Amino acid sequence: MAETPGYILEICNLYYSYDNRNNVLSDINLGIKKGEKIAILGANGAGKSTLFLNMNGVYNNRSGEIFLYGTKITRKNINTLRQNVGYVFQEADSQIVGTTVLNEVSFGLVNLGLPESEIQKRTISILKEMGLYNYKDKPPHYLSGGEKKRVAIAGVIAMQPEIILFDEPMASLDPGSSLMFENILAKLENEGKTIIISTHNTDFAYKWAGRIIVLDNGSIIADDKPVKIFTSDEILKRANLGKPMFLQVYEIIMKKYGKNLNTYGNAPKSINEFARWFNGLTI
Amino acid sequence: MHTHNHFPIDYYAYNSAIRNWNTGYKMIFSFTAIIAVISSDDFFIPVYTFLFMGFINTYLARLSIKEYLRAVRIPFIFIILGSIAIGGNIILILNVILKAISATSAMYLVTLSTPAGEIIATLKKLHLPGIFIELMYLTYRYIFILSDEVHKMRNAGISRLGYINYRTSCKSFSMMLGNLLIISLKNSRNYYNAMEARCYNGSLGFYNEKKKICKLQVLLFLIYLIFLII
Repeated sequence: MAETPGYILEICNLYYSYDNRNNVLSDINLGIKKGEKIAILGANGAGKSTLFLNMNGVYNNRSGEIFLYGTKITRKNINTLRQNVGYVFQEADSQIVGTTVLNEVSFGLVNLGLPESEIQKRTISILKEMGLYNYKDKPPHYLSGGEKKRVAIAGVIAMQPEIILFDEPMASLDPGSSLMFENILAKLENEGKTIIISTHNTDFAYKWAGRIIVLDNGSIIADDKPVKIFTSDEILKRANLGKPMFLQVYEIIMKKYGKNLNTYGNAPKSINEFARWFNGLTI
Repeated sequence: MHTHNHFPIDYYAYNSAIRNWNTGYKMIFSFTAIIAVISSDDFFIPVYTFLFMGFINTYLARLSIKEYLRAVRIPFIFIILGSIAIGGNIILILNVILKAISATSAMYLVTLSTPAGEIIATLKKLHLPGIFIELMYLTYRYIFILSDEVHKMRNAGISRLGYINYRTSCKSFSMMLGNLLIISLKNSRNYYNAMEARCYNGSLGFYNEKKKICKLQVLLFLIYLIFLII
């Protein structure tokens, strides 16, 4: 399959295996456009992390092809993939290498061989944007979970990747930090970044994503708009996913008042939308 | 904010008031003092060095004397006991103790006031082989990751009566060690992937802000040297 214009990242016939026997990923075909907000859902062990590690160039011994901006990725240009696709790991501690926040954020830039003045400029600016400037000389082991997460994210976006992958970012965040994270996402979207999040949180995926990809046993079983995915009982059951809360509430209310569920056009995705919709409902 | 005191020396190093002094300067100062002490014959130089360093380590670094003694007591006790074990006449023993303690206090000028990362970065500038630099950075980070895991496992063990008597404690301890190894191996794979994801290319380095040497520091060093020569 040749590369298709319009996609910044394209994956064709990807198969991946750790031990050359069992395929962890089978026949993955995926095209990603600039600015998309994609949520990847799937049970544990479905292959989400493996897919991510293929997408950002850490795993390079796949069968199949990856195209970045229409250029095929090989061993020679693997670094452009790593630079353009950032990956924020689930555990901040698995990712933080530096001994101070400043060190940590500069790590990627030092690896890219940028001149020191540029490193300094970008690092300081990222720290200020993420509200971490006052922490710049603090060591990571004296930070709280939410702060560490912010540092891990800062370290990735300092490299200015076009696409950012988040692996279950809110799994270990408290509500305050979750909110902080959603603000960071909004900021990244404003900058035109393409964001892909792997999560179990169907409520969040329903609220945030413009496109949902469902992975099951290493294969993509669904790739569509959120409403289409979440109203398909078959997909939900097969991938072991729960229906988003607001969708369930919407269906219950619509059914009670004998309304037509066909389009789900105005189905609310958040509490504010729900309030607006419910208050404007005519029975 | 999360500050459970991992290790005192590390904590003092990050919070020292002289942390912002140029690391190279501190190391030169410290090294000069150590050489001076070791090669001296009289009684005066070690005592003078000990007091001078003590002044810097406590007053200038804003460390309380109590905390300073807490940080130095293990090596000091070790020195005293070791020197007594060496034997010989009392003058010789005192001489050895004095030299060792004052050289150690000179070393503390660096270790109590400089975070490990900065020491490693300076060693890197001195062209210490890359493999040592990497090992130091990674070992340092790992100490804290592992100590957190140990903390969690110990609590889990205590909650399930894993330390109620000596025999059970030994078993729990050994299981914890085994577990720690497995966790480290798993974690190291993720760690390496994370480094590769940020274009790690075989040489581990970070950006550090430069620190100027100010007049006070130069003055201090000169004062020390002047009295040394006298």
